[in-house]
Amino acid sequence: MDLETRAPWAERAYASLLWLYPGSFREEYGGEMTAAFSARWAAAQRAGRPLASAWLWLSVAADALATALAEHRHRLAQDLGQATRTLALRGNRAFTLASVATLALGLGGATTIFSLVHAILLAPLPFKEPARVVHLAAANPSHDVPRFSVSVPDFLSWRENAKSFSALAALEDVSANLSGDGAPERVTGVAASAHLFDLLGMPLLAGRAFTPEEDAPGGPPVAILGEGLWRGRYGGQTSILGRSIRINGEPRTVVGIAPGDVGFATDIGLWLPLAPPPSGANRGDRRLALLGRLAPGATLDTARAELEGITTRLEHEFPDTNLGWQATVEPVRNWMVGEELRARLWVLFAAVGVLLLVACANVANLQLARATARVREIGIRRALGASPARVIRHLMIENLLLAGIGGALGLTLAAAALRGATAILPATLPRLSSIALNGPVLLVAFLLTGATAFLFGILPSALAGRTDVRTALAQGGRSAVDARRAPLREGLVVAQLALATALSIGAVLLAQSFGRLQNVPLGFRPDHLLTARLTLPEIEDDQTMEAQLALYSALMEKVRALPGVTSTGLTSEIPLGEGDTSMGISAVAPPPGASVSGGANREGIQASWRIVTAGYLPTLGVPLRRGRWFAEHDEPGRSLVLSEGLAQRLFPRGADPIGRRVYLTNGKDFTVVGVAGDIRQTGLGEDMTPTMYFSTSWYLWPTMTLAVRTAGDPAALTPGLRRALSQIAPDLALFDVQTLSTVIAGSVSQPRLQTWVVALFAGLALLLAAIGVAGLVAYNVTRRTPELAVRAALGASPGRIVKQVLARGLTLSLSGVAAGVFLAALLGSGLKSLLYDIDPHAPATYAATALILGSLGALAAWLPARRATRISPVLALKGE
Amino acid sequence: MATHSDDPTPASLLPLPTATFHILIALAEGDRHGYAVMQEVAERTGGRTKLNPGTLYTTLHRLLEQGLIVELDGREVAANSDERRRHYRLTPFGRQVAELELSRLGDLLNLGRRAGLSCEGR
Repeated sequence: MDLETRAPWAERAYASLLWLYPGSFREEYGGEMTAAFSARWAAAQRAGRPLASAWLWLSVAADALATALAEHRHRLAQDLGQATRTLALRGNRAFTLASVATLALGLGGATTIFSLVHAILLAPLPFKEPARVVHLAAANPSHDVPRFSVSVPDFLSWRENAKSFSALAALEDVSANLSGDGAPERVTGVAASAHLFDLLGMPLLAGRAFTPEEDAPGGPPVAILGEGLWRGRYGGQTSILGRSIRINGEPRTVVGIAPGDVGFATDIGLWLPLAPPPSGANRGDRRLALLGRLAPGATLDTARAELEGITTRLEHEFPDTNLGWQATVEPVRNWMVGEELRARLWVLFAAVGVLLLVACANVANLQLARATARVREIGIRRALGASPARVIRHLMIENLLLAGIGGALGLTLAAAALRGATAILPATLPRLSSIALNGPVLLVAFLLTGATAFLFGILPSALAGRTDVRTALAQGGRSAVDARRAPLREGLVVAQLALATALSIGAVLLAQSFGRLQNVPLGFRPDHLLTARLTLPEIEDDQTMEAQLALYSALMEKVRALPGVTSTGLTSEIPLGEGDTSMGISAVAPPPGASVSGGANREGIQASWRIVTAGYLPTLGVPLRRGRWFAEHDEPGRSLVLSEGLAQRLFPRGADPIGRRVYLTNGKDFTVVGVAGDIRQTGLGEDMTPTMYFSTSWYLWPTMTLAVRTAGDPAALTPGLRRALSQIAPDLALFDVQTLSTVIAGSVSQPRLQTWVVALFAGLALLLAAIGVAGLVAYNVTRRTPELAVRAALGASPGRIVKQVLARGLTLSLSGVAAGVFLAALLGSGLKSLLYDIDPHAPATYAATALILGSLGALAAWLPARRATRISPVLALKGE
Repeated sequence: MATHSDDPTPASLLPLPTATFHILIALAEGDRHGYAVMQEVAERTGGRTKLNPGTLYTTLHRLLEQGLIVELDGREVAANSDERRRHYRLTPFGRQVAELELSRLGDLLNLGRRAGLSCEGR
């Protein structure tokens, strides 16, 4: 070659193109390729045509790009093909199946739980700039009320004065009976401020939102249909817009169709204008939920500070109703997803993470066992010139292939689990409809799969890469490598057992807590009770009140006449139902001109209240402790029944409350006629609820619940109940017809589901860990067969041999369980908020679980250890 | 290295890519190193076919894997260069493949001729 025409820069430029090729290819052919290029370059230069040089560059670069890509593809296909063949080898099939199944379980579980976590806690809400949307509530720390609804006048005062919000909108649940065009139907309704949809940045499906005129008292009667009702009752026809429908007997014009999923609810059938009365409404009557959008520049903190100023002013201005009442501002998701649910989801996620780790450890252990068997194969490959990098690459591709198949199966599992889950998950779960295997979930599943491959694959690969060729070939790859790996394998088994133990202890704690919850004394007998709800129009005057009372009496009379009915009663809210109503009550008369509000009267107690008929509490099976139930001759709006605990707090030191006067926040006073046994109104995990009972003769709630005690199966009474109502009021519909046992079961559906899922994960982790122990012991038996055979031949009794093999397995099991107990003790406090009446560090629970797991570990070690006794010295030694 | 149980049969490799066939033809006459193959191909085709280094060496690599050629022991040090060059030799299997391709092309040629096509039409 002509030295003059050699251009170092051109060679260097070409050499840099070579980086496109796989490393080994570059090493092998790079030099010759550069030389070949140089020769052509020199020829082109000699030809002296600049165009020829440019053309040469172009064609050489295009050629390098295309062939480098093809080479990479070829190698990958080769490696994948080899990995597939290796994994499918007869001797490897058991390993492959076990690994894939383990990974599929771990990854499938993790993907399922993450899709819940994502949908409920992480996915952006369907609002415009969801982070700017906040929930506002009233709070009364001095009465232990952390979050309460807001009164209409307070809402208007806040909206007028607060500059931190570009908009504030109020919502109130309303019940609505649809009639006129088809069978009467009761739908879930919400009365909302006109600009709610605007505030959320949520366009309507059709039509328009309410106008400010419609959102004012006495405004035009209009309604917006929710998507579900629109599709279900009106066939999804937009021709409904502008038409009139009958709601609670009143005609209203449909002006719009709202989306089904409004972020915080998916079942709203009907939207009505809130139309808050600007004055006259009681400032102490708190029943609105408030949503706001933070103004540009405002933050949660500035909004809170501003509202604090406003509520302090209102306290001074309206001490009767507002003393002690402040405001809270929180991200809207905190309102939708309670703290408890949040904690439950993270616990589930942690549990499935532990399961995945155990699965990884299991597969890593399988890999190590197999790697020992493969040392010879790898040694041969190395001897034939495969570089350590190449060997590691092969192993990594095998691992990725395993993880990939496991991940794909896991996704299939997760898809099936989610399809089943929507049926099992409590309908009260927020964002339930948005749970899906969507992009972010798939991305996480993909990353988890990669991380898993890394975790279970990196150790074996690194070890294999280090394999010394001579040792591997000379010793047949047995003892030397084994000795190095034994501690690692044992460590993995201990870690597995530790994780499984910790998870089991968590599961047992949750199960104990759930057992306690289910057996907690309720104060009433929930069996043989059917409940059904009924909504009547809001009471405006004495006539409607009397008419409604007459309707309810007639209904109850008809129901009592049904065969199998032993008693009936009416209430504004059943125990453990959806809602709670509460008010301040005091035994001390407020100073003249003031009421029993907030901090004004230190004796005041915040207590739940219910409106009931005289027959309601006896129907529930609540005992009368003192005095009497309501009676016909009671003057309406004067008599009151107290729960036992509330009576004791109001009238301490055994004072007799009967005939005494009590004073309420609403400015009224009542005479105590009876004391009823305590019951749990608000939750199985809550204390007995201090409750006051008003008589239906004083007031009726728009939606009342009928409770019926039956001699036989309560659910069988449903058709009779519906018939009874249709005979009296054909336009009305009963809804939420369910047994009280169902209501109670529903109130603990979240802890129940969580307990089952964590128990399932713990069981799987335990199974994997047991397999890990058994596998290790079995492997040790096989490995030590010659040694054990010699011992047997020298007269050692089978018992002693088993003992030796077993001893190691037992030591490992016990260390694992001990480490798990320690781990659980460390993490136990994380469960504290979810446990009812259970100490997260209960020694008995720890000891019992440890004992069971230790025994399981011992069993897992003993089963394969028995094989040691069956070793035939002759055969074993021959084999060697 | 590439001795798989599913080694290719000669027929399964046909039709050969043009570059591959050229390389086999160049090696059919005698052992050559990579650069010489490139020159040979260019010469034989009157400069019409110039193999780029990428195509040449990835093809040689593939032919080695498939057992159509082998690398000779001992490497010659090229004049004026510090590069050691590998020499390649056609294997009997490679020759078989090349001949099969040749007869395939011959058949094609005959078919065309019988159909009245002329091969003087360049």
